Amino acid sequence: MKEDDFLNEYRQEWQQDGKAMEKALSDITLEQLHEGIARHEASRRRRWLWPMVSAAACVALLATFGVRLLSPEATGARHPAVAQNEASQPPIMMPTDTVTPWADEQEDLPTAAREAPSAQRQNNMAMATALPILTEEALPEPEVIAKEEKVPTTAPACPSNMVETKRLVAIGGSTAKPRERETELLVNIVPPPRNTFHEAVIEPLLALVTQDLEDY
Amino acid sequence: MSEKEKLQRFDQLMLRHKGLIVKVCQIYCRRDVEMAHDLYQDIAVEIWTHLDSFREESSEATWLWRIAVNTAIDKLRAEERRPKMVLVESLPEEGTKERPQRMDDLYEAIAHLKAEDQRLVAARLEDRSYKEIAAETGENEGALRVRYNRIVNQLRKMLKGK
Repeated sequence: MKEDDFLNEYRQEWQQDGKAMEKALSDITLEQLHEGIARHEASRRRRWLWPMVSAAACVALLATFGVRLLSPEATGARHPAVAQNEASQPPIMMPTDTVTPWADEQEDLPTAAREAPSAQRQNNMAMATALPILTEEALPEPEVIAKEEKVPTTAPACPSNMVETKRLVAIGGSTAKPRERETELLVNIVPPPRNTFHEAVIEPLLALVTQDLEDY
Repeated sequence: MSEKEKLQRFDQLMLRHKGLIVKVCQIYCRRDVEMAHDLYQDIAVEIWTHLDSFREESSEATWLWRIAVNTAIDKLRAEERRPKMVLVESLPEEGTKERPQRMDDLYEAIAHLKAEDQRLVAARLEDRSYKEIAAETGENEGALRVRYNRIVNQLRKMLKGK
């Protein structure tokens, strides 16, 4: 065939080159190929390692500084625990025996609703009628509570007779300002975020990274 | 596929189709044995990496040839981007004749063909019959002849331009 004739002049040299290449590559064994694959897999894992470490460092920084920036002290926001605590307090009812609290609203209500007040309203009404009329004379004297009391300690752990601060927190009738109460509650309720984060995220990541580095 | 099964499959492939990989090394590395060694390793790594994704839609040999050619092209591109250092001692002495330029031209022309066409030309240059090639690739003998004639014309034009 004409086309084959065209390639005939190359055929002999092609075959010689082929044999030489086959001989040159005959010393490559399967074990060598396996080693090459293992090296490739290791380098691929290493390529993923540093982005992972960087990402972990970014998360750690964000968690450390982000928690501080977004803390209630920094933003002035009320902590959810404080807000929930306040919400759980019973509402202060103004006593009245002459005016029905829902009298004005009743005009807008349909007839059925006006005739049968809801269970919540019945409850409110019962509470309102049970409360006595409070006057200034009837108000109880506020309890005198020591906010902070310095108590000298005699414990052997404090040989220099250091003064220990004892904080008395009044339950239900604290004279402390609302802001201070919030702080006290926060101190008691909110766990230290940094330690938890370190235990949950940073320490396992560091262990992983250390293990991986040791492997290589 | 478990790691052990994958390794067994890989070993079988590499033993069964070693000749194909050698051919790709010959086309793309010509007589550079060192580069051929590297390319052979790279092809093995690529086969290992893509072994899980082999769905047997084409024959093993076709799939493997395509991977080998793509790996060779990528490697050559990477080599071209890398700055080359030529030592004075390695330059050919004056008066000595380098290997025939026309073979280099042929390799270069074949390297510019499609992967399937390269395989057909390589097989024909190895004196393999259309019947054998058809059995290996699953193609019709007549179709192979027509395609081969088209490729030869294409090569002739490329080599005439040199």
